[in-house]
Formats: sequence, C-alpha cells, structure tokens
Amino acid sequence: MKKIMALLCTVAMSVGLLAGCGSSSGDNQSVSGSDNTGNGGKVVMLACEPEVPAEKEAWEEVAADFEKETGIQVELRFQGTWSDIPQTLQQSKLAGDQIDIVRVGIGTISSTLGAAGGVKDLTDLASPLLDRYSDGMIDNCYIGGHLWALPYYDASSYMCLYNKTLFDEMGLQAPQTWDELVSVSKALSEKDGVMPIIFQGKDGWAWPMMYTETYNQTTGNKSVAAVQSFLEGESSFVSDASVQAFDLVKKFYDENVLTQASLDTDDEGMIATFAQGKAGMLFAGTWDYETLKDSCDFEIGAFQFPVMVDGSHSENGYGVGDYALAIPSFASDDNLENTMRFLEYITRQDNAQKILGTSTMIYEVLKGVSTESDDVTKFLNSQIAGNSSEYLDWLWPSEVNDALSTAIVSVISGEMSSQDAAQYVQDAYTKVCEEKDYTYAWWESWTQEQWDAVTPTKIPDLTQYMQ
Amino acid sequence: MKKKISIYHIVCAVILLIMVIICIYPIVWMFFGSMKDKAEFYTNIWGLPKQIHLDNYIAAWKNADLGRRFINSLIVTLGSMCIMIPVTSCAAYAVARLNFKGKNLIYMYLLLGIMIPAGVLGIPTFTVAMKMGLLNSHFGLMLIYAAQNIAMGMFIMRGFFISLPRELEEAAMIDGCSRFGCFVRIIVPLARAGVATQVIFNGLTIWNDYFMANIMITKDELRTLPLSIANFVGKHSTNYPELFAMLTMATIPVIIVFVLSQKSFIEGVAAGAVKG
Amino acid sequence: MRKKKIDAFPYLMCLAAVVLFTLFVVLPFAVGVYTSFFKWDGFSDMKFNGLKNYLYVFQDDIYWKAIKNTFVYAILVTVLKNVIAFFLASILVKNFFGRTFFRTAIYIPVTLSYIVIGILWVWIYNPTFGLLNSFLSAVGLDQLILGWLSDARVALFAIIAVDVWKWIGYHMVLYIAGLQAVPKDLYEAAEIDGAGPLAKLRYVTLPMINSTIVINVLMSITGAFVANYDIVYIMTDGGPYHSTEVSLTYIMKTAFTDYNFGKANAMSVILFLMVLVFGFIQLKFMSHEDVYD
Repeated sequence: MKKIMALLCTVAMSVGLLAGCGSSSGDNQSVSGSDNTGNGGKVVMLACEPEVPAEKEAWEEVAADFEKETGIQVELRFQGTWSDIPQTLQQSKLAGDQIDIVRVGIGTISSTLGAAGGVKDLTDLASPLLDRYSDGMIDNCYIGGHLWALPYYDASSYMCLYNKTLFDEMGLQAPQTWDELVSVSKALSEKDGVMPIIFQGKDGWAWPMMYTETYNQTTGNKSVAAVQSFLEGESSFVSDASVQAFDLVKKFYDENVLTQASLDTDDEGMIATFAQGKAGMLFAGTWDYETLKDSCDFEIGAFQFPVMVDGSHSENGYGVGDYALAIPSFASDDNLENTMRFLEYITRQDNAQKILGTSTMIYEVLKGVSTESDDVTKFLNSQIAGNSSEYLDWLWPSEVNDALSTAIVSVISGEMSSQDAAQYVQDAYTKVCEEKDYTYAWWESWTQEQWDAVTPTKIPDLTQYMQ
Repeated sequence: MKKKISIYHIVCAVILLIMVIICIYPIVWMFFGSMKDKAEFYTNIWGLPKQIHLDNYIAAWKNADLGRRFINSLIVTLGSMCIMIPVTSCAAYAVARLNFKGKNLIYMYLLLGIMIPAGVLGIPTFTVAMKMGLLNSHFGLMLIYAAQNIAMGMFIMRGFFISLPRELEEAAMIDGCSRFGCFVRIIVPLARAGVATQVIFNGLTIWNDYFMANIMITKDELRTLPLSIANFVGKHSTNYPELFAMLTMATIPVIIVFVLSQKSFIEGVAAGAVKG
Repeated sequence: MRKKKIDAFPYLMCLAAVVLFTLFVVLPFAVGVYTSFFKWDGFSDMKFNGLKNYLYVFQDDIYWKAIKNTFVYAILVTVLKNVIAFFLASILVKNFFGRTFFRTAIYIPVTLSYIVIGILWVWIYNPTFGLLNSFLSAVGLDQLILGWLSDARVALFAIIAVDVWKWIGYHMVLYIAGLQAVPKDLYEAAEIDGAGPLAKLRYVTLPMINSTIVINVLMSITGAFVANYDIVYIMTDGGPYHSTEVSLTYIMKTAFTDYNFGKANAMSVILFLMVLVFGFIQLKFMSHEDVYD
C-alpha cells in the first residue's frame, strides 16, 4: 500500500504543480524595494563568494556597523562564482528579487550588461564619491562618457617577473631591451631544467594579453584608439600594426624566449613552474602576484615588457574594475538613497581598508587603501603611471577576443600567416555585427526611452552623510 | 593448455595492477593535496606533504558551513531518489509489461530526455520552477533532478522488467493479487538491481551537481555541498588545499556507499537471473 | 480481460513520469526552441529573428568542426569504454581474494569531482613537471613526448583518454552485473559442445548480456553528445584553435561567454535532432530482445 500512496502522492503533487503553473504566473511581480524591513529600510547586495573568508567577515562587520549607524539593514547575498553572476542577476530580475547593488566586472558591463540596459547610470549619483578614488583610477568605469559602476577591488595590469635569486646566481641582469631579453633567455635555456619565460598559453584567453603588449607598440602607443576605430567599423583590423603585432608575438616563440612548454601550461601550471624555479621569467597578470609571492621561496623582481618597435615605448595593459559595484536597472529608485548611503559608507577609507585589505592590493584604487609595499609593487606602481593602456579585451566583444586567441595560437603553431590572422579577427567582427547587432558605441544609438530606463529619477544628496 | 592459462593470468594481473594504480593515485593525490599548504601545493606537486596541515579540513568545514550542506545534499539526493525511483518504476513497468495504446509513444517520449542538451536550459528551467513557486526549496530541486533523470531511469528499469518471465505475474494473479499489488510485491523486489543502478549512477550525478543547485538555491542555509566549491575558487586565486579538503570530505561518503552497495547490487542481479 | 472501456491502469502508472518530465525537461526545452528564433543577450528584450540563428549556425565553421569532433569523440569513447570495461568486468566477475578492493579502486575516478580531475590531468600532461613525460623519458621513449594538450593532432585524444578513465569503473560495474546474471550451465553446455573461449564469448556471453551492452553503449554515446561539457572544459576548453571543441563547449561558450542565447539554442536544437536520429537508430539496431508481448 505504501507504493500506492507514494504513487498517488506523486500524481497529486504533479497535477497540483501543473495547475499552479497556470494560475500563479502573474503573482510574481512584487516590486523590488517594497520589501523594506524595519524603519531604516534594507539594501541587498548580490556578489559572488568573496575571495577569502576574511573578506566575507569584513563585509559582514562593515554592514553591521552601517546598520548600527543608520538603521538601514544590509543583506549580503554572496552566491556562486564570479562567472555565475550575470545569470544570477537575470534570474533575480525574473523572480522579482530585491537587488540594489550587484558586484560585476567592468568588462561584463562594457560587453553586455551596459548595452542591454542592465545597470543604472551612476554619473550623477556617485559624483560626490569620485574624490575618494586615486587619479585616473576610475576612468575606465566610464563608458560612453557615463559612469556605470564604482570599482571596488584592486586594479590589475600585466607584469613581467623574474627569479631574482636565480638571476643573481647566474650573474644575469633583468632585461631592459629585446636583445637583452633574447640573450638572457639563451643563458637560461643553457642551464639544465630551466626555461626562459613561462606563460599560461594553454588558456586561450591569455594570449590576447601578450598581443595587447605588442599591439600597444605597433600602433605607436595608440592601441585603444585603433581598436575603437576598428570596432566602430571605421577601419579594418587588417592593418600593418595588427599584422606586425602578430609577428612580434611569434618572434617570442621563434627566438626561444617562449617555448613549446608554455603552450601546454595553464594558470596553475605557470605558477607551479615558476615557483619550482623551472622558469627564469614569467609574463602574467598582477592577479597572480599574491599566489606567486606566497609560493616562491626565492626573491622575485619585475621588469618592463621590452620595447620591440622603434619609436614606441613599452606600455602595460591595465584595468580597474575587475570587481565593481553597479546598481541594476530593475532596482527601485525609491531605495536609491539607502543604496547610495551604503556605497558612500563602504568607500570611506577605513571601511574600504577593512574589506579590501583582506586581499592583496597592489594599486591604490581608493585613496589610502593598499596593502603591499615591496619592490615589485613599487615597480608596478611606477610603471602604471602614464605608461598603460586599457585592457583591449574589455573593449571588444568576446567573439573577437576568442578569434584573436585562436589566431595567435595558429600563428605561433605555423597554421596561419599573420596576414590571415588579422583577417580572421576582422571576419569575427563582421560576424558578430551581423549575428548580435553589435555596436561598439551603443550609447550613441540609444533612444530616449532606453536612457530613461537607466537614469535615476532622483539624486539623493550624499554630501550630508559624508564625513 | 595449463601454461597458456597462466600467461593469461599474468597479463590480467598486470593490467589490473596498472588500472588500480592509475585509478587510486588521484584520490591519494587529492588527499595529499588537502594536507599541504598553499605554497607546497605548487612546489611539491607529486610528493607527500612535508608537514601535515590538518587545519585545512577545519578551515574548509568552517568557511563553507559544510555540516549543514552535507545534510542538505543528503536530503536532496535521497529525496530525488524517493521521487525518481517509484515514478520510473511504475512507468517502466507499464511500458515493459502491459499492453496499451500509445505505449511505445510514451516510452520514446520519455527517452528524449537523454538526448536533450541541458546546458543552456538553466533560465527556462528556472522560469518554470519560479512560476510554480519552487525556488529556494529542496523539494523543487528534487523534482527537477528527478525529472532530468527520468529518461535514464526508465531505460534502466525497463531493461530489468522486460527480462522477467511472464509466469511470475500470472501466478500472482491467480493468488488473487491486484495488478498493482502484484507489481509492488513480485516485480519490484526482483528489480532491485535496476534500483541500485539508478542509485549509483543518478545518485552520484545529483550529489555532485553544481549547475542546477546554483540556479535554484539562493538562500545560504539551503545550499548543497557542490556549491561550496565557489567558496574556495576565487576570480583571482583559488585555495586548492582547502578545496581539496572539502572535496575529499564530499567524496569519501560516496565511496563508502559504493563499497557497501556494490555487493548487494551485483548479487541482486544474479539472484534475479537465477529465479528467472 | 477484454473490456470495451479503456483500461486506465497503464496510463495511471505512466502519469507521474510523463507529468514530471514534461514540466521540467520538455517545457524548458520548448522554451529553448522558442528562444532559438530570437536575438537575445539574456538581459534585454528578445527580438524576433526568424530562422536566421539557424542560418548563422549552418554558416559557422567552428560549430561543424565541433560536431565532427563530437562524432569522433562519441565513437572512440563508446568503443574504448565498452571494450575495456567488459574486459575488466570479465576478470573481476570471478571470485578471488581482493576483488572488492579492485572493483572499488577502478570505480574511484567516477566519484571524483571534475575540478580535481582537471588539475590532476592537466598537470600529468604538463611538459615541465608532468608525470607522463617524465615516465616516457624514464623508459627511454623520448620520441613519444608530445604537447599533449597543445598539439592539435593529439589533444582531442588526450581528453578522450581522461573521459574513458573517468567512466570505466561505472561501465565495469554494469558489465559485472550483467555477467553475473549469465547462467553457469550455459557455459557448461557450450564446453560440452567443444566451444573454445572465443566461441563461448560469441555465442553465450554476448547474446546473454545484450541488454547490458545496449545500456552501456547508449550511455556512452549520449554522454559524448550531451554530457561531456565538464571534461572538455576543464582540459582545454576547446583549444588550441578549436581543435578540441565539441558541440557542448561551443554551445556553452556562445550562451555564457558571448551572451548569444538565440544562436546557442539553435545549436542545441540541431544537436538534439542529430542525437535523436542516432539514438533511435542505435536502439533499433541493438534492441532485438524487445519482443515481449
């Protein structure tokens, strides 16, 4: 009889659900923001799980302090990994959840969320807070002249590191020029079991990093303008600069600065290879610095990406807003005051130090908030100032980035000529324009209606709360 | 003749040994990795931990609230089984042993499930669940898991039912059993092996699922074990020793269940065949 | 038992399965099919696009490369998993000391999380500190050392090896169960008739475990079509230059990296139709035991 019961239950349940499906479809339109509890209201922040447990604790502590001070409750919804966030945000919108702040990457906003009208325009809302950011450190959160998110994490850049202990042992100097890099590489290769540069070449997405550096030089340090003109359809990617940049990446490989091993090595493998002393140098992003520093029992030095094109200087790709705080466009304007008060609270130097200080902060994005002061950090900071270009992969769509990765690996492996590679990237651009109606300057073609959907109806006066 | 057999035995023994090494080594490696510190994870890749860091286990347990998540995973996995097994057994029995109009159609329809790529269906599934008010509930997750595994379950159970001799039911009918009573008392016990197959295959899939759980569950206290991965994998750095500690803790129960169930499972099949 | 009235019992037995399946699998898939006719980035409003997404898919070389890889993958994985698992099962079905240990050991990879498998195997294949190359040079086979995951000629096979390794234990257990169920007297009878080991395999074992083979083959084939995302993603994510791209990695990339849900769903639908055809052909060919009436 148990089975009969079970069967009947299941059937009844299923039928009930089916019926429920029809009737309740209109019930889920609870207005976000109306769910306020207590007198002070509530702010909900959606973010992926913090980098380290200490960061989570710090968020909770600061949120509790904020509630004590203002009476506004803060719900911190940490969920999933970084790449899950866009989907989670979309679901929250469908389900009518209250989300006042979402932590996303600026790259996501410039590639999708922004163009889709997913986040609010913060230009006026956040203007009182801009002084808290170091000079230039918020620039790339402006897309089309509007501010879409407040960066709230370390900035990052590409970096070249070397094993200083090994270099000293072998009597080598950190390379300053391309020729020195080649000769250092040659010396390292002659030592048994050591390769010159290790790079995470198995990760397709990593190759555009190296390309960015060479492209910066072949465009005469005008890579961002060149890419914008390419993305607006004004010029083709098949240009001397693009082709030459492919050639230069291949040169790394041809002159044995990069070896076959890098093509088979992923992010973790790169860290392991370098930390084990099996590579003399490394080209990576600063986000790996913390792990590298912890894993290497030798001294690390940094050097500048070599100048490979006469008349240009070495420029590092960099970006601010890996993690940035945005306000979803479906968040209620009624709650904006509370939301902005929380953003004001967490960007205060002491609170920001509490939260962000739990991770490695190489660059001082918010004034006075940083954790590192070693030589590498100092070198990187001096390098960034006036010597950097925005990450190109935050400018172009993911399809173009993917095509570029494919093209670079094909060029290195001899499957494609540099000329064909540039054409391949251009084709990917043409395809994405057709298939997704891609427009680089989406903000130029927006209708008034689209602007209204992301423009806050009232601007709370934050200055009264600021210390 | 005798010599030939012994060579065959040696070959088998060597192959088995190689298989065992390449299959056991990973779990040993994971276990070692879970006791290293972050730096050693990168510098001493294949070796024994130089110093045993059991605190990784404590930290992992605490950081990801594993106690509660273990219980949640257990509830969801068992619950899905409790829905899936009766549902697929009933339907598979009907399709395998009863004659009715449209039975092939129903069977083929349910089999479509193994052919649907579910990867991009996250948002549609979410929408359906949302309209039924099943978000943030273990019950909703169970229903989805059960539904997604129906096709495979049907296929397995039907295979087992179809091989049973018809006389079994006829004898039971003569004894005055109702058709459903006959199904429950005579047929289901003989299909234990089918049930066990579902448990070890689908149960494992459900126990390890991240994708649907992340879509359906947003409340911290309802999260299942695989979602803990996100607690250790950051955008910028991953705490591998703690991650491995967590995964070791999540894997060991699965292996225990296998050791306990494999004997009765395999013998269950044999018993069914002997009776047939 | 002949009644004019339609007998409701079989339908009631199927009801729960059909309802659950329709709600949580078919309905979302139908929404997916619907989405495939639209341009949709996952956030803004959907724009009707007619059959254009399908046109884009048909023009997309990478997708067809991925489909080709998927077929190679499916065939190799199915053959290897079944042959090796059957061979291991035929050893481990016998009664000997330590049998449970061996069975458990070979089952262990099934239980491991993909995240561990990913790091482990990528590192085994690593050229600098990987075990495979160290092993090869230790036994003097230096000429076999390859860029396992970077050489377009071998990368797909390197992934297939990991997939086979992961699932072999599962198929082995099913085969053991199937082999246990073959009545011993059939072998005795065959031996009396003078059958050698191969003849016994051909005329006794294989026909008797036909249903087990059907399950195993179906699982490996459909697994390669609709469930190999994780393993390819962690090993290469389709690289180098899409040489290991399979349909699922490309579909997921189109959906969750490129936010092109319309095209991703169109790819899903095409994949589904292909699996549908091959799945049913396979079932038709292999299920001749299903003549129960």
